[in-house]
Amino acid sequence: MTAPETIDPSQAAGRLPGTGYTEQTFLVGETVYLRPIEASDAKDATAWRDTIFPVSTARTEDYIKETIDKQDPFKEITLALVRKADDVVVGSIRASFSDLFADFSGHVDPLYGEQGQTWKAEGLVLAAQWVVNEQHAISGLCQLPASESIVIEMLNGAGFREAARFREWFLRDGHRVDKVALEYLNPGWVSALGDPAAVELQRSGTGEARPVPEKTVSEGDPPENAMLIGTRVYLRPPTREDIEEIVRYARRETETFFDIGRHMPDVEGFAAWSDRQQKQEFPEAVRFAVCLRESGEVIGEVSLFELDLINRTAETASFFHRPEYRGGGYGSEAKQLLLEYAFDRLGLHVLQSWVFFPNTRSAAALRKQGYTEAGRIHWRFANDGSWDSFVVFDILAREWRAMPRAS
Amino acid sequence: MTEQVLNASASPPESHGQTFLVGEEIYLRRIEKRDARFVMSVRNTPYPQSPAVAEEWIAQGLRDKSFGVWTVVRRQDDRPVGSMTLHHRNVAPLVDVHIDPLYPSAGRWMAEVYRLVVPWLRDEIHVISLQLPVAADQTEAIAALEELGCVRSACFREMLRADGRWVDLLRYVALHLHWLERLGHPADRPIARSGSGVRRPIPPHGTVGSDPQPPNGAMAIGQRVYLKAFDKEDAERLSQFNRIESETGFGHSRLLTTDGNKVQSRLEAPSFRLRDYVPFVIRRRSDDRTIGDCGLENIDFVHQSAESYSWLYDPATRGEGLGYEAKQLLLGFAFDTLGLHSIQSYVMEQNLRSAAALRTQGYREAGRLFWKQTGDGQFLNQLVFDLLADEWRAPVLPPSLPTPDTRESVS
Repeated sequence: MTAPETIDPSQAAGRLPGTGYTEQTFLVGETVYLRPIEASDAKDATAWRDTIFPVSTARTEDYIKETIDKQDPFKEITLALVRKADDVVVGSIRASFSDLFADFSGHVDPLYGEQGQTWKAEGLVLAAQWVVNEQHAISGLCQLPASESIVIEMLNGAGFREAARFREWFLRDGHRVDKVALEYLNPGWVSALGDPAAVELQRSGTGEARPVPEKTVSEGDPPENAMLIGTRVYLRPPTREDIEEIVRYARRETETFFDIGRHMPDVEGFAAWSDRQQKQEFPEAVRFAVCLRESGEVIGEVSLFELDLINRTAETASFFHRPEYRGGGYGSEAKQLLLEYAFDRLGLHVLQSWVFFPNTRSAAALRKQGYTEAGRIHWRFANDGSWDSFVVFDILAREWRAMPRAS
Repeated sequence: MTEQVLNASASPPESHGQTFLVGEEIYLRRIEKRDARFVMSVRNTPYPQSPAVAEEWIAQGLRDKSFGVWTVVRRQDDRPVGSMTLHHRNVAPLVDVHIDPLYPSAGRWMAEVYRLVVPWLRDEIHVISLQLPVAADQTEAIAALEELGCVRSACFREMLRADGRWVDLLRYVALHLHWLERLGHPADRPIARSGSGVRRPIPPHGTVGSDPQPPNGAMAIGQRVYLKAFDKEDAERLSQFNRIESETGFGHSRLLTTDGNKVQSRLEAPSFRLRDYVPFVIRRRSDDRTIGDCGLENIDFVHQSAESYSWLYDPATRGEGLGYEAKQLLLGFAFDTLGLHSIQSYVMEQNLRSAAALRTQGYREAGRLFWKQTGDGQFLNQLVFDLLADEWRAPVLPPSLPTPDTRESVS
């Protein structure tokens, strides 16, 4: 193989190769260190940009200026993962924050093989210890393909632990592999409050899956703009008028356990976000209005978020703003139409759903709809004098197809 | 269910007085902004879209001369129920027909659209070769096309996803009768083939191994070549080779492009999430020189299909198997990284070398698209190929052994 045409960054900066970390006091490991992304890193885009697509140096220069340089370090930071021996950029580590709760991800040029996994693990551990132990985040979460067994083993040895496992989530080299969710909890808070894994999950309902309604065939004209039709409800694109009604009902909400208390969205922001998604060629979110067949009234919405058409995954969500239609089976009927859309129309392979711990009603509904518990993600929000957790679920296309059909 | 009465007044239906493209149950007219109200019937998209967003799409499209969308309207109440899109392409325009599948009469109406559109375009507008893609499960539409004298010219296996299963995409063609009388039917001429047609084994590829560094910017490494992103110097090299090209039989004449427009076309593709076009540069490992490019176009992530292409710039590098090795790296990206289900490839019929290369790479002939462009006193055909992921992954068997065909599809 020919020698790489890389310009050594330390030489460019007038330093000897392998000394790039010597004046840095933190985020330095045994074989790698983390530093901010610099303009000159554009030429190494393939090594550090977390994308499966080819990216040119020119576009990466723009990306650094337009995205990396504008990151708010309190919300998101992307750091170069650099090999200590020669200051070559071999990957990147990203940390993002939702208030006091962090998410970590890493990318190493896959051509480095197993060696790259050890660098990635080292970088993730450096980032987690920095964010959780030094910056006092409550928890950190890192979701990895199970095929990265070296990374997972190294993280487990450094204070992370497996919190959940979403089956067959990633496509890697033509194979389906699980997504392993590893959490890193703040040790001080664990000492103060105890291990959240010891908290018993409250369950309601029978936990048994119910038959999926048979596909409904329209005998006459379908309702205007309907995309999927059930016995009592149908799904159609949401409009601005629907958003106005949802916002109106949000002000009248009486339940507080669906989310962390009640929220009051604004029409303009909600509508602008909805329009943006609908105009995208490859939307990340797909939302449907749930309407009654007998009257056309909108009673709720069902959605796919984080739609990923390469791994063929998404997260499902549903919300019924009309309280009189909660608990009557309308939600499950709409959800089954959403699953039909996800699996049969889009060809997704697996779906996940996250439920706040106290929301036992939604968790029971998911079990009834055929979802399986995938684990718990601890300490992701504040709740009544403590930190609280999510119970997470998944459902595979083939499981959904094998469920009994109701006539 | 709410009844939508659109034409409850005594006014005559809108089709009244229209002299063509009016059938028994439906008629066609150019799309208008008001059709946005029925967007999910009119627009063939897998994603929900509100009438307000659709109105912008229509308004923007109508400002573009090439926006060939027509609305299929039900005669009894002037309700839009589908669309016909006319794509202008050289001598062989292509027609896509969509009818909202939730209507029980969708199949019958689709057939009626073809009965209106094919005679109009072929016999009145004198289209030379009308290309008509249709899903293999649209039995009423297929029957109508065959009644109209259209010929099935190709079958792309498992190219469409419908209700959780794979369906073939058929290509019918309506050829102008007087041109047929003058030139004879192109199907009567046998396909010329060169090469053995035998698939070769896939060469090894993988990680950097014991080398300290992968080649500069490499995304996939083979034994002799690697694939990387397109950079400005690669585009410049492409431009230089364009000027000294000696071959004219690739399916187009020789092209002269500036560095600038090549860079634009290859570098400006959005790099954030999904995209429908992924170009790679092919570099030779022995001297780290750019020798060509390859990529995927028209990627459809819902139907998990794409079209592949490749080109070696320097004639001296052709015929040595470098293109084969690069193509296998590209197929690995397409099937194993993107998870695509099928790949299509198009080659002008006279380009025997490229067609032979596709066969050795594992592609199967899917048929011929007749009269796709003008040649020297004749019209030229395109050979089409396809390759399924499970075929590519299957071990290469000796030619004497039959390949089991276990796929489930509608054809």
